[in-house]
Amino acid sequence: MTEALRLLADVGLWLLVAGVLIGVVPLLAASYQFLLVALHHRRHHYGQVARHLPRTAILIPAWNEEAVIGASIDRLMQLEYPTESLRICVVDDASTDGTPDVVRAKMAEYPGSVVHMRREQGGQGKAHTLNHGLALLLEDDWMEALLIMDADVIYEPASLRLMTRHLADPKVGAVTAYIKEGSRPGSYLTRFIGYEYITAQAAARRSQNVLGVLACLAGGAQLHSRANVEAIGGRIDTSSLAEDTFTTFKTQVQGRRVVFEPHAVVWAEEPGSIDSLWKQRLRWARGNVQVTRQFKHLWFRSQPGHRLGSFSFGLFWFCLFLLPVIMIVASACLVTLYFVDFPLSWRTFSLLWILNGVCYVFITGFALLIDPDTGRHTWKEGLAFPGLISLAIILYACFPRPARWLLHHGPHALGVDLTTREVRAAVLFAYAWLALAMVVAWLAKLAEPRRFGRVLSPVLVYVVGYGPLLCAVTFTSYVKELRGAAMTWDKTEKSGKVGMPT
Amino acid sequence: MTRPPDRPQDDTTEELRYERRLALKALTVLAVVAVLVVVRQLWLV
Repeated sequence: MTEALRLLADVGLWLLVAGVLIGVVPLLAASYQFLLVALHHRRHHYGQVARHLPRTAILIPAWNEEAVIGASIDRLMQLEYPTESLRICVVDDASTDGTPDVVRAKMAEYPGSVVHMRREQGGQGKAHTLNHGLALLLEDDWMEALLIMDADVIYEPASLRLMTRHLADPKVGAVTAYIKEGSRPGSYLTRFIGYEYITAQAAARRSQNVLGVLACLAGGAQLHSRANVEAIGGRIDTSSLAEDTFTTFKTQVQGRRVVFEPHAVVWAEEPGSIDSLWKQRLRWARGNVQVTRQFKHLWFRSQPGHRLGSFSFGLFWFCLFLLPVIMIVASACLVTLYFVDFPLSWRTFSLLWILNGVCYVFITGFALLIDPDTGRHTWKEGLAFPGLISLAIILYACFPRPARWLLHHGPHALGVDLTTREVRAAVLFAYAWLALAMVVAWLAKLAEPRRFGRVLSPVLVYVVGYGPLLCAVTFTSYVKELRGAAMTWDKTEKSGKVGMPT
Repeated sequence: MTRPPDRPQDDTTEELRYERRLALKALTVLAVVAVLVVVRQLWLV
C-alpha cells in the first residue's frame, strides 16, 4: 500500500514537471519555425515563376475613407504594371463622408481604370462588402486575377508584378505579400507591431512556404487567380471574423497552393493605442477560434492535395492558439510544485527559463537580421518583446551566481535586508509570472484611457511584454467565443498617416 | 505603367541571393547561441 502511494506521488510529481515544461514548447516550436526559414533558399516557388501580367481587378472595401482613398488610387496607378491590365474597384460600403465624390473624381482622372461600386446599405462587415464587389466582377470575363486590399495600404511599385508571376503556375491559387508597419511618425506600440510582423510574417510565412502550406493571406494583400475565386464559390465567407484565414484554408482544401512573396512589400498603418490593437486582435483571435473549430477534421491528419494536416503546421497553429492555456498550466504546475517539493520546483523552473532564454536569443537575433531595415528601428521593442520581468527571470536562471549576489547585495546597499518570507514571496511571484503577465497586460489596457495612462500603459507594456499582451487577447477570445458574444466588426481606427521610408 | 521595371518579372536572382544570405545569418546566430551556452556552462562549472 505504501509502495503504491509512493509510486502515485512520484507519478504526480513528474506530471507536474511535465506540466511546467509544456511552457517551453511554444518557444521551441517558434525556434523550429525560424530554423525552417533558413531552408527557404532551397524550398520555394521561384522555380515555377514566369512573366505573367494578368488583367487584375483591385478590390478595395471602403467605408468613410475620404482621407486616404484618393492617394491610394493615385499610388496604385503608379504601380509597375500595365495600366490597361489594372482596374481599381472601390466598394463603397454606404460611406457617409466624401468617399463617393473622391472616387468619382478619380474615375474622371483615370477613365476606364477606376470603378465605383456603391452599397446603399452597409455596416455588415468587410466580407459582405467584398462579396458585393465580387458578384459584379464575376459578371463578365475581364478579370483574370483579383487583388483584395485595404483602402489605406501602400504597395511598393514592384509589389504587384512580383506577386502575379507566381500565378503563372496554375497550381497556385493565391499569393500574399509582406505587410510592414508604416505608421508615421509611429509610437512605441507600432514599433512593437513592426517587430511582431518580422516574426509573424517575414519569418513565419517563409517557413510556411517551406512546408508548402500557408496559415493566412494578409487581409491587405490577397492576390487570387480567377479560377481560385470561382473554385471557392465566388464569394468570401461571412460566417467568421477571420474571412481571410477562411479563404486561405478553403483555397488549399480545394488543392491549390498559397504562396507568400516576401519581396513584395506592402505598407500598412497599424493601431496606435492598446484599445484599438485589442479590438483588432480580438477580432483576429476570435476568427482563429472559429477557423480551428470549422476545420477540426483537418488537424494532424495528412490528406492528399494539401498540407494543412501536417504535424509541423498543426504544431505552429496550436502553439499560438493555446498559448494562454499553456502559460497558465505551466504557472499552476510550478506553484503546486513549490508547495510539494521546493528543490524540484526550483530545478524545473531554472530549466524552463534557461530553455526559454536560449530560444529567445536565437529568435530575436535572427528576426532582427531577417528584415534589418525594420530591425534597425524596432530592436529595442524586439528585445523587450517578452517583457523586462521575463528577461530578468531569464538572466537569473541563466546566470544564477551573479544574479544572487546582486539580489543579496543590492537591497543590502540600500539598507534593506530581505527576510526569508520576502524571498519566498518573490520566488512564488516568479513561478506565477507566466500567467500573471497576462493579467498585468490586461491592466495596461485598462490603464490607458485613465489619467496617468499615457505614461503608465507604455511602461507596463515594456515591463510585462508585448507577447503577454497578445496572449491576454487570445484568452479573451476564448471567453467571448464560449459566451457566444455577438460578432461585431470593429473597424480599426486609422489616421491615414502611413508611408514608405524615403 | 508609369515607369519601366528595373528587371524582368521572372528574374529571381536577387530574391534567391537574399534567401541564401538569410540561411547564413541563421547559421551565424545559431553559432553565437552555441558559444553563449558553452561560455555559460564553463563559467558555472
